Amino acid sequence: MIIIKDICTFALSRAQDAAQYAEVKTEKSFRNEYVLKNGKPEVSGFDKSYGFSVRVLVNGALGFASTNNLEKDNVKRVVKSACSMAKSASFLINSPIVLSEEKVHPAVDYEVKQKIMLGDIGPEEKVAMLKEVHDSVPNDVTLDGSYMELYDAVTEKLFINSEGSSIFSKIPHIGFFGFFTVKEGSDSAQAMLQKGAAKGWEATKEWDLHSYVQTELSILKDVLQKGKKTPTENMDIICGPEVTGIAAHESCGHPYEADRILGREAAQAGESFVSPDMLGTKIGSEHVTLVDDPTLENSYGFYLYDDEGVKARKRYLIKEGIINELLHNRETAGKMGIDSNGSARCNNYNREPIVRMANTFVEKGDWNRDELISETKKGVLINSFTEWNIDDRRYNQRYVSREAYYIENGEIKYPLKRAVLEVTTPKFWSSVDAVADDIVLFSGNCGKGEPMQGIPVDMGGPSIRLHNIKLGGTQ
Amino acid sequence: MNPDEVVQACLERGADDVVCHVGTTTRKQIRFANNEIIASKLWDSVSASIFMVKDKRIVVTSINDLLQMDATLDELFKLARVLEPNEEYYGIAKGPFKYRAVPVGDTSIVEEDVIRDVFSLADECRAAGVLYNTSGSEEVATSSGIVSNDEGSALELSVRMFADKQASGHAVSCARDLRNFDPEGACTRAKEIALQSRNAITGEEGKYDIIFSPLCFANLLDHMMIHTSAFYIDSGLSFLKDKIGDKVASDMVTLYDDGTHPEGLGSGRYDEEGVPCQKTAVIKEGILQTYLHNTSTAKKYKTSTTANAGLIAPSPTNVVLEEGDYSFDEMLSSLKDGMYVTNTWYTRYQNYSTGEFSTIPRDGMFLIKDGELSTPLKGIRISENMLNMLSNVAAVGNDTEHIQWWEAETPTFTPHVLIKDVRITRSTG
Repeated sequence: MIIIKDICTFALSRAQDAAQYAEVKTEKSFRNEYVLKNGKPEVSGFDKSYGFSVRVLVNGALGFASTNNLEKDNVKRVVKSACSMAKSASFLINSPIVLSEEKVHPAVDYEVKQKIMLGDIGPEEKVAMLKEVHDSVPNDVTLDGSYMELYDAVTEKLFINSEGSSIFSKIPHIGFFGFFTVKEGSDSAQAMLQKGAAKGWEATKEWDLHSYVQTELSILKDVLQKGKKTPTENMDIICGPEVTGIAAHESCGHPYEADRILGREAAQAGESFVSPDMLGTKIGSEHVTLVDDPTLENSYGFYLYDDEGVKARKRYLIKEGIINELLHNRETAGKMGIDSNGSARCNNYNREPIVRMANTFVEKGDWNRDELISETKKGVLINSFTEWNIDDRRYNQRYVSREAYYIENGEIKYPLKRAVLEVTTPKFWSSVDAVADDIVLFSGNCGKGEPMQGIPVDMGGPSIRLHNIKLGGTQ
Repeated sequence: MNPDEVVQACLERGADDVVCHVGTTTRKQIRFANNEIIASKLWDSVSASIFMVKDKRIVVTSINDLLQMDATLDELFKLARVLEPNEEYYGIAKGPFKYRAVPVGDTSIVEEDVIRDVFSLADECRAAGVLYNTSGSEEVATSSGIVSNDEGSALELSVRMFADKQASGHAVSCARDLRNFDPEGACTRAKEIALQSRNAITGEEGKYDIIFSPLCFANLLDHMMIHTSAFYIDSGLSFLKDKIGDKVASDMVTLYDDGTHPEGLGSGRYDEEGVPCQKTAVIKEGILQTYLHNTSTAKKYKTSTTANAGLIAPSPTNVVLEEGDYSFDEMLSSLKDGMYVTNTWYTRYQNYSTGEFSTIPRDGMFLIKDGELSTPLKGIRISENMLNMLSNVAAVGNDTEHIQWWEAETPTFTPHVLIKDVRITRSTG
């Protein structure tokens, strides 16, 4: 990265001539990808990307420009464009952007070490692993189509700003994505299965993809064969960690993003039902403590410094049912007169850093999962989901089960087909009356921003029980 | 290195098929919210993509450091050597072809002036949105004798007006050329919907006859059209599998993929393998005519390419729903009870192979009573099946709009559409 660092320093010095604040980011990434369709190799490939971007504040307005042509004259031109666009925009702002004051980190250099280097594993071995996973699908499961991909990437980033911070990171990522259709007579069901981590090839050993896929597809078959109609009277609903996780992400993480709350994403991802004056008010039962933590080692959303150079830390979004903290970057923190909590992320050098989640989950309680079930007189256990969505204020959400069971007198009785949990956010979180200790995190890609920035995140938590909920939707 | 040199270098190394694109793009964006500019951005990029096949082993790469091309090709061939063949690969198109140019428009605007006008039109509303001004050019070369180039231009304004926190309207203006760019029209529409949406009440569950605005229906068409890609069909991800020749929609539905549309943001001279863009009837009067193909998938299905490469996954260019002869007022007055939905987002499938899905209306949505818009609504969800929706189309409007935005990625031309018996659900608590 030495040559690129010289270019960054040059760009920063040019930007400082015109801007009150400037930051320069450069990134080099190498990504491999392998795709199987219906168990057969479809395509393999790699992407190599590098370039730099500059973000400036001129008269309180924000300018951003990026290029992958690192010739000095072009860098000069791009920096000049960022500054002049910001200057022109400054006549069309209501109040100048003031970034929160943050600690300067002059010489940070960190790397996630790989136990088994991604580069040491040949493409033939990676494709062979995918094929074996496909071929291990049990014989009694009828597949009616499958798509699988495996990717690995190593990204080196250098961030420097006009306050004197300099942060270098090198982070590997590896991810698996599988989409399977299982047929049973005239009925069918689908599973979207995903794994992700910031680590080396050792991740695939820990995932045990063979048994993960086998188990999930056998469950689909069982639900298709034996699943009954879901009762619609009010009952207790137990959400497994996957459902807890998606709800934590969609109806707590997103509405607590301060940029949405302040209206910055209004025309795309939307705003939020949460307002700053709701801090300190009750949103959930006392059993709910919900966090977002980028510092979890090897997690899919891992980072130690955010994309504005702020040191990352665990954020308590809900503490014992009370709204405790929002997710901030330096712009939203500056607006609210507080410090950033290190939530600025971008998915590439050519995207602006915006407020994002990292790893969002409900903290464990003191029940165990078996107790949750045995202490439920009449209820439904929803272990996993297929279709899901939520409105753009993050108030009305819906999760349709992939795996669900009817519970009677503390025992699981039979599987249910397509149980639909369609409920408001306050109802969901205020209905939690018991939290287990079986935390599991699931990986996903979170979308936000214009242009869209998909970023790796984890989401999860333990099994939780929602008291007295009516399941709805079409049967 | 230009694309032809890359192709020649690959052929010298023993490649069977090669397609290379090299493109340059300059894109300016202004994002705004709360009646102020929140960020101004510029992207300036050069990038290359290579598709290479050796003994049916398919490898692809995209790079933006063209000086490293030799090393990249070495890596590409190394990768191809260790892979297994894709037995379902049947080659690329044989050129050369004659191309029809899609005119490049004049997009010279002062972006800040457009934004100033948006703010002034917002009046009592709060405006948020994005303006893009894009220009680009690219060259393509293939091992089958195709060498060509293309240019593109686009102006896109997406604007959402808020009359209050929960009363909003959204509209877009998309054009290849300044002459067809109408930011004022978009602002006026968005504002009108926002003002009408105040004091909304939560809607009730049930089945409704719903008029979908062009903005809203573009999202659904975007989600429907990808199901016609042969790649989706093969992967078990389409509700249109094994339905060629079947009635999949009402007689009123004729749906095209049209890469030649003079105004379409997805128009061009050629598709990804250099085949001249064309207009293809995908659904004609309700009957499914074809899937979207590249040369390889077309050979597998014993048909001709529809010029929709995607060398791996065929994809739509511009989606065009053929106009009907209903005005919006005629549709409205035909309904004693119904609903009008002006936008939606977060469309997700429960099962791609059956078409079960749900989507969440946002911005203005209204009850229709006795042929007129009445109470504004909130808190509803459309929980339906795509095949039901297509079959229940009862009227197609005559007021086509060109739509592309964050929630409708494929450029789409659609008028208002009336669909009968659409299921609405809502939160149970």
